Amino acid sequence: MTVQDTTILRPIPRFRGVDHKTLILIPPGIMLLVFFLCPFLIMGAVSFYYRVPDGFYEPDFVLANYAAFFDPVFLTALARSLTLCAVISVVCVSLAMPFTYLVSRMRRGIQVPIVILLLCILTLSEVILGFSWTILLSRTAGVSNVLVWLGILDRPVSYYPSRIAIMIAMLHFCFPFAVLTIYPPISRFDRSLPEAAATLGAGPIRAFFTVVIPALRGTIISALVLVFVFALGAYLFPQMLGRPADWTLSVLITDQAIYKSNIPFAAAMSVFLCLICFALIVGVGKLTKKSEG
Amino acid sequence: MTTLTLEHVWKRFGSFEALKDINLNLPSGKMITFLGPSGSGKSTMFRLVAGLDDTTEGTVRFDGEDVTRLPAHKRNVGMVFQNYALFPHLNVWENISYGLKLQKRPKAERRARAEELLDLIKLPHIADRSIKQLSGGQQQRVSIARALAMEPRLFLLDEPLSALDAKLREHMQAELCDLQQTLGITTIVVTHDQREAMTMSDVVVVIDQGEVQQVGSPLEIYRKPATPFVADFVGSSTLLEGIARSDGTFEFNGQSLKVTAPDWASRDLTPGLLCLRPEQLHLAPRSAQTPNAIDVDVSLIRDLGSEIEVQARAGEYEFLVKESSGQPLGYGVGDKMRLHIPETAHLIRA
Amino acid sequence: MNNHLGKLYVFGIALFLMLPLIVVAGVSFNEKKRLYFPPRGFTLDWYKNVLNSSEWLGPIGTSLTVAAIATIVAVCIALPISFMMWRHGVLFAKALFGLGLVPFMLPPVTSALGFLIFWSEIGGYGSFWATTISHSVFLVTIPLMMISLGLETIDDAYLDAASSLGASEGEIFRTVILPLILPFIFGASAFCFVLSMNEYIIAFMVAGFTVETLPIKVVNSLRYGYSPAMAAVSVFAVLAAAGLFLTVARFGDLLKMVGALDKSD
Repeated sequence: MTVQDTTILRPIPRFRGVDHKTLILIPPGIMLLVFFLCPFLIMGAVSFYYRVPDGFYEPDFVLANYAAFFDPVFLTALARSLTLCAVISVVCVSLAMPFTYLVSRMRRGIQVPIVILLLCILTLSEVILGFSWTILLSRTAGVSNVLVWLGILDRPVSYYPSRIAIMIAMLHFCFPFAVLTIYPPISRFDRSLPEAAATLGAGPIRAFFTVVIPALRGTIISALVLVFVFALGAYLFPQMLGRPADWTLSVLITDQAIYKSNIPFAAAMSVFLCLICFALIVGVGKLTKKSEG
Repeated sequence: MTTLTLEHVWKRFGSFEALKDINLNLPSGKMITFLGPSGSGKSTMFRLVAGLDDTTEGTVRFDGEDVTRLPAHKRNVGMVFQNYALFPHLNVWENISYGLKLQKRPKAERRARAEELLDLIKLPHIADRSIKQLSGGQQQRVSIARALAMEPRLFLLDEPLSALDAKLREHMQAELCDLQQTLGITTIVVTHDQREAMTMSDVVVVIDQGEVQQVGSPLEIYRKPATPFVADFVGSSTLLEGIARSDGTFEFNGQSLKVTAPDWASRDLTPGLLCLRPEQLHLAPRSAQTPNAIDVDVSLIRDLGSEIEVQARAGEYEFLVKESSGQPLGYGVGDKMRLHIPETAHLIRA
Repeated sequence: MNNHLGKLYVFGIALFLMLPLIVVAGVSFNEKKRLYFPPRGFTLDWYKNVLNSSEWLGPIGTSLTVAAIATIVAVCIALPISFMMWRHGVLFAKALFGLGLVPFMLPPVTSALGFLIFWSEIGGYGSFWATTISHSVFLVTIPLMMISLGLETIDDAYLDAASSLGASEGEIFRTVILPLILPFIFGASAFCFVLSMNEYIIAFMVAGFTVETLPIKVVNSLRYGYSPAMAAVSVFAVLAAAGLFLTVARFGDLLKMVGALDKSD
């Protein structure tokens, strides 16, 4: 088959006998619509409900839950969350770009174990990772002991609770996600480009910054956004490794929903968070599509 | 043995007409090629015959039986794909006996049939190999064996040799022909390679822009191209634009050349194209006063060893002439010569 | 020179990534009920402790059951959607696919809160099925993406070949498509399973402490002070994940599954 013919034939789906086969979409459709879409719609509705002071809520249409956003506590938490996640995202992607690029050019025998390591950390519970970091940054078992042993410190200290602790843990948590987001486009990246740069006299590091990075601009932008959103989702690290003053939006939502029993306010914050993430992802999707198309 | 008939077949993709009113009646037990450039519609036609795509309009018949609405899996056609499409999760004999397994034939029978076909394609002893272990040529043969396993009514091959290197390709051409003759099965090969079509087939169907340009034996196609496209696509030729008359003259550039009059030529002015093949032509010095000739300038001479290719020009026309390399040419680049036009040159209606 | 620098960079980061795991493994060997690193003394008692007490085995069992059912349900939701989208371009399937990608685009807390409200409204709050079904729809993104990736690797010619050899649509699915995407289904299942085993916020929000999965149990015990037993549990969790991913890598092309281009020649 010739190239042109293929492209003509490809997009034409074969509808012969499809009608009754689409019936198999009903069970998955029900599952997703009932158990996934419904919860979000209900949550949206609840965000406008009236909160009964003793803990529950009743159907109503009040904007009080959204008005509560103008509370300085919420605003600072919002600003803190956004800055923290932006910093994490930039650092993660900056570290992940050369890492992924280098790994994608390594032997399969090295790539596979590294991918397994990344997957392990990506899938590990924040609970376990948070627990590990509390040990690692603690006085009795942490890195400060190594520093004492090296003679840098006089006696071991605890590095948490602190903002740095949260940042280190989140960096660790988000890094595998960043790598796996940019791995597919980097592995598909045309090797002849850096090679061409090499023949023109660019060393590997220069080739990376002058050829690889500019060519993957779209990838980098979407990775920044995805990692940012992923970091926004961290809910345990700020609790385990920080003080209440360091809590992010995700923690506040949990806190309002579970401990303060203010579900309508939690729902309102949640809806707000969803909208931010949606806007970012859809926006960047449009942007990269435009620059690629 | 199956005859294939297409009656008023149309295929549209949206507003694009991939096939326009195709009418074909192809003989049984022959080697048939669908020849055309990329995007000509040959692959579309091939897929309609196989049942892999629906016809928009018209009828497809096998032995007169209407199979238009019969899906591919009920047509019993054996297909060989350009990239062979051997199932990577099955080994060689499982691939060959895939269709038999669908029919729930016992394992012993399937295995026996696979072995028999492996003998036929001259690759015994590879039954248990995995597909990844096979070379391109071996994969090609296994895919042929798989296509033949069900004793299909039609044997369809889509650009079967395009992925092989030149030497293996020629070898496989010969072998495919042998195989076809042994089995006597109606075989259709899709190709864009006119040499392949010429050497392999009994019948060539030339397709361009969704229309059948000509159906005929390779020799007919070459000697008597029906349209300017065929003349140009099959072999090399120079087409002279002029006026054909029923008295056997062809008016070209104010000159009157003597040719065999085709039946469509009339006393009136009928525009025609004179198709000149390189081996029909030869050059003579101007002084020789050769009749039925035109004045040309030699522009390029290429010695290919076995023959000499000479390019000559007359105005906007460029001619290719093949001279034997036995004796010296007696002329060189830049020389002014006479190009003799044979009376047997074929006239195409413009 | 640059080459070595690159290797140093990669292995430096790999070390950073492994650091918490190494420390957790280290403290799990402490003899006394204190967390020292490097460990003081060496004992495997904490591992025995975990494996012998119903205190830990209960949550482990719960988590395994939830993860197994959630994985199967997630794959059963994803397979028809991906298939219908790929093979027939059904619009409804495309819409469902888009919907199925949403959980991974949003912070898990928002889904968790949605589930919490939903299950308390319909009265399933705190039930085993609330946790399991919430997990399955939350994790459906993984099989959706990986199965679609697997389907994309299938050459159309395979389907045409099967068709020409007499296979009906159903037979093509059973004999060609399914075997070819099986590694991807397996990989997606492993991924889903491990994620569900480790998932905390949704399990916590839809069931509080009534369906005590492993992460909930760990958080609960952290309230009562640290013990090497928790480190031992963490080591089990890491080993289970690593083991599953290793198995996937053995039976399929892991790099292809995470979206890398097939570079094998």
